[in-house]
Amino acid sequence: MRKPVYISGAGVISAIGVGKDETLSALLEKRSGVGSMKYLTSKHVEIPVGEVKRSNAELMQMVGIKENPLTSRTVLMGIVALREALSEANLKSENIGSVHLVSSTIVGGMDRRELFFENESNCDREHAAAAIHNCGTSTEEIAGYFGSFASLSTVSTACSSATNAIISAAFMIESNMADIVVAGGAECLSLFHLNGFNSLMILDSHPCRPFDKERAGLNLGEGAAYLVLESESSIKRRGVRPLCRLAGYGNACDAFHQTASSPTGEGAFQAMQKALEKAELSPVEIDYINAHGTATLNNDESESCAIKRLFGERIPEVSSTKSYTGHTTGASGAVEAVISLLVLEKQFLPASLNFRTPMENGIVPVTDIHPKGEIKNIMSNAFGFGGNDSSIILSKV
Amino acid sequence: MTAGRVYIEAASQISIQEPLSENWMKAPVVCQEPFAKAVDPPWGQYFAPNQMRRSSAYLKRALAVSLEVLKRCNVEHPDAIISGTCFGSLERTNGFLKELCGNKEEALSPMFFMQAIHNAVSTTIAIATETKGYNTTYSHANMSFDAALSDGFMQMQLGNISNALVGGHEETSAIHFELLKKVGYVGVEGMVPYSDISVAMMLNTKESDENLCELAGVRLLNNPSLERVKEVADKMLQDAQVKNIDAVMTGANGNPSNDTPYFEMAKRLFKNKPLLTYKNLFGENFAASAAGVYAAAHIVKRETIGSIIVINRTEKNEVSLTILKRL
Repeated sequence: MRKPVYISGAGVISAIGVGKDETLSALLEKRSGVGSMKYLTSKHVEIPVGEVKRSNAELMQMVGIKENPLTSRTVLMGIVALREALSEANLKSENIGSVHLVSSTIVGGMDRRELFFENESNCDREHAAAAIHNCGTSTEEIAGYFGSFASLSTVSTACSSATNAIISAAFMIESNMADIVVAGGAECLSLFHLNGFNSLMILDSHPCRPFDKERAGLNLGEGAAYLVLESESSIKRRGVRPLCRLAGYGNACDAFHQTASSPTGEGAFQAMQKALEKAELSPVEIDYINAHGTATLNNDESESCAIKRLFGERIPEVSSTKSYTGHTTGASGAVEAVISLLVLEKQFLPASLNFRTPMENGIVPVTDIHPKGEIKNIMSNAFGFGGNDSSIILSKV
Repeated sequence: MTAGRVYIEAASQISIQEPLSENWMKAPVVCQEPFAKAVDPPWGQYFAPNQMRRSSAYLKRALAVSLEVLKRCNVEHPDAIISGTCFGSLERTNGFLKELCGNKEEALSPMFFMQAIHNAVSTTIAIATETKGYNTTYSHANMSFDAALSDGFMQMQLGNISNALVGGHEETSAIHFELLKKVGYVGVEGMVPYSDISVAMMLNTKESDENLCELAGVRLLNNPSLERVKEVADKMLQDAQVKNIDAVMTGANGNPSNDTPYFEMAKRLFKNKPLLTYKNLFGENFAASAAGVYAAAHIVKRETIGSIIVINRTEKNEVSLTILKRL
């Protein structure tokens, strides 16, 4: 039998708030964090974004680190979210040495490099060090704030990065490699990201409309979130309360196109199916799906098809919380896992925003926050470029 | 844990050595340049010209070396494709940044962006081979490949998969050579070249004389003391049923700030064991440790050597230990 994996702490920061409490309030009050650009300096000010409502200076102050223009916003948000997760799991600095960290990001500290790229060839050693940042650098800097974790690793699979970090962490617990692994991701808005997605012509100039017939693309967001994964024996030994169980996970590759999903959503279908198998649950036992639901033409069509293929006539309640946070890309899988955890704890449905007209053969997302029955099992999807499709299932303890 | 054994069935490389060959064992290419590009194979053998026309050399190398390993193992669709890359396609990232700053955020090439995203490597291999199984990419400095190898190893221990194509892929760039020189990472007098690497290997759980070796353990540690490394290494050797390790493969590269900690570790933990190096043959880069495991696997297969421990470490003292054992 497979070793159970519990979640004993979580932390989050996104456009809808700092911490789980603010996040919960925004979801219950149907308040989106997507709006006009304030903190990122870009020529494309007309593009709505889901920004964390704090400047870098304010974030540095919040975590008590010296102001440094070369510190990435990704790192700052990561520290805020990780601090909350560790605190909830009652892990203190003296415990960190036996805790492992698997973090994720897509471009990490690119928000710094892009600011001085044009003068890079003449830069000093300090700027050179910032220029050669890599995904792992942001993990090391986030981790370094807390001390020396037992091991570090970084996953980078585009928009499913954080979900795959959670899956990688689960392997470590199941194979007895670790007792406690914190997993999640961090990603700030950067010109690199904004212009990259813009060059693909998948950004909506309005607040995004997941699963709506008139949807016209996604809104980029930013944020960070971490979950503390823990083995049963460790939970018992430390006497901590498990918040929920990571009941299942699945990862599959659509293997269709570098930036488009297959019309039938084969990768998504297989990822969800594997997650169900791992959790030993049948489709009818899933009460809510936190969809990837980016609101691009392609994703919502493909994801709808995959969900319909897997769940048949009895489709669970589905919503996309990207209508609140924007698409937090490298952090999204963890941000949405924390939201799913809140749903399990507080028994509500995060209603999809901006939905008016159903798409042909599409999912009709839930717009009422009141659930019809008890929510016991939640599926959370995250799909990335190239068809890196992953799905996890969180279950009540 | 009494999980089944994991083997390396085949492994191949594209680097400054002769591509997709093990000739480096008999007739190594000697390269004394501080910065050298890989010797690329004729791409035509591996894919149609239009198939990879717009791809960076980095993605072509990753695909060619993967196809070579799949061919050697006679596998069409592995259960998993797991890659490690620190910078992904560096040329594409720098290209996108150049356009972004030069064109003032206008008229950017989506192709540069797409190929810059680090998981492009694992998904390109999946798309080309129509492989729908587990697929992921680790990007953690020069532990990227080690994290990928550990993922494959753990999943085999768990019985999730029975084979996995694991790779380490890194592209160099002139811009990065200059930046890395400024921080003292490369270009130091007497150091091996900074160069491209693409290594792929097939892990499987099937016992066969055809396998290169057993992969008897992989562990990643962050900022361990020497005592902690010893404790973990001893436990790994015990689990692997290796009484005495025969040789130690280090990441020494001729740069004293890199080499000293390796020599210290070897002296304290593996006294009087022969030290092997691979970066003198395959160069330095952030996926170089893939070449270390690749080289050690072939050495275990072809030389009379029973077991090798491969040590990789980062300048921030993250350490990986990998044990390879003769069949």
